[in-house]
Amino acid sequence: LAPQDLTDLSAESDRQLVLSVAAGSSDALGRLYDRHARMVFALARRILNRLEDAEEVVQDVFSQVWREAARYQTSRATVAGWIVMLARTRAIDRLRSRQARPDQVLALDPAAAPPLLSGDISPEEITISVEDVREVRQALTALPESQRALVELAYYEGLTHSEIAERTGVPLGTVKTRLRTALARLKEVLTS
Amino acid sequence: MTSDDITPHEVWEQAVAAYAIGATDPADRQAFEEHLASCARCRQALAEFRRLEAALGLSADATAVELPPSLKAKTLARATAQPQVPLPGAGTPATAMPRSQRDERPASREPASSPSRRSAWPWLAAAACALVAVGLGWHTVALQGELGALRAQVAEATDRAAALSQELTRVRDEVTRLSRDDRILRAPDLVTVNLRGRTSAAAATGRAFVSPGSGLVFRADSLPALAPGRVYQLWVIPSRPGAAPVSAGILTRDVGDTYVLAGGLPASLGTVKTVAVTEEPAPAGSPGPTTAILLVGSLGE
Repeated sequence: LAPQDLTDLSAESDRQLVLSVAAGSSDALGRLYDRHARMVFALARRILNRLEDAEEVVQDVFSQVWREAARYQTSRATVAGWIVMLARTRAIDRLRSRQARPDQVLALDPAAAPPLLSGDISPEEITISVEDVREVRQALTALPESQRALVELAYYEGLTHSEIAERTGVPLGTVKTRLRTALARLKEVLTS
Repeated sequence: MTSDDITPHEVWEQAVAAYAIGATDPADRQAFEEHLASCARCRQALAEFRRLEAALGLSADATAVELPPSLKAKTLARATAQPQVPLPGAGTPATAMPRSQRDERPASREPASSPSRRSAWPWLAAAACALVAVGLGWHTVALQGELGALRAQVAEATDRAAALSQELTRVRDEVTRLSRDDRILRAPDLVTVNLRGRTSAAAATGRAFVSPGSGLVFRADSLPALAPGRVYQLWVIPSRPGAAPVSAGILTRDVGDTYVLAGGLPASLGTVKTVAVTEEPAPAGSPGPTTAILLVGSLGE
């Protein structure tokens, strides 16, 4: 076994776990839980601001990982990227059903929240390093308040441009410009 | 935002970021998706913003959270009680059963680590039969009206016991197969070999997980349809100089043009250098490859 193969293996070990989950291994699901549940829980709590709801999201997400592990293999996102995408989608679904506003129920339609990391469109693999995450966190804190608030409404509450405009009273055109500027700033800090 | 002809490309470039995090309004989203389908530049830009989307999710402060200790067991129990999307690489002729049948039986997806619990079911079912039968004895004379119902219950319980016993056999087979696949995929000497198609199978791709100590899990996609009387045979070529190809078995068609194989390897094989697929006569293939290689890959490629 060449050393290079060992490197490949450790880089792929998350993927191997997903493969084992797809083959029916609950043990492998437990190991994915050990690695990623905190991240899911943290994001869900950030979005839902209620512990019991965040716990439900953790259960939803790992149930979905169990059910759909076989589908993941053709996806190009990292396992962490896939799981965080599931976590955000499920948490926002739950947030919206909690708010139970009929005009937003449509947003639960999967088409309304496109599978952002499903990978069919991009030829590149989505990889995120620890530094990327740290830099993004810092850059988010460093944004002007008027921009950060919009990013948080869009990202953590899943609101669209119009919904943000309605919620904040900021004109639609301004919402679009500010959000775009903020996201472009955040993207700059990602290592290419 | 209605048509590429009248919209300068900058407008699309400005739309990418919001689209990537799902903030685009429905009408704008549809227009953007139509554009995206034909614009590689925007797809590339989208890929970069998707990294941001994931990084934002990962940046929620995980260090400050304490997971409730009971949550793991609850989560695993709920998750594994559900049916799974079938794994394209799973299933061997001896143990495969129709997917539909398996999906209808979520109870069979219990954790693989609890076969002892599962083996209690036929006994419980048998006990249920016995209880119903005893009840029958007591009530036959006085309660004729209940006789029919009780008989039906006995019949139902008996059927259920038989079904459970059949299912137990299936589940045992499946556990055996899954734990073998799992053992292979976790073997310390596991290597991954990617295979590419050639000649008439140029579009085909394959991947082999090979552990000389534990066995092999293989999957190939987009293989051409086989002529009647032909099979796909998998070969492994050991890395020692001059070694001849050794058969790893016949591929099983999984769904569509996907073929799979999982199983052991000869103990004396040693480390594997190359994995290849050829077409051979059914049912058992050939002792050595007799046709041109259709799919091949070597370690480190």
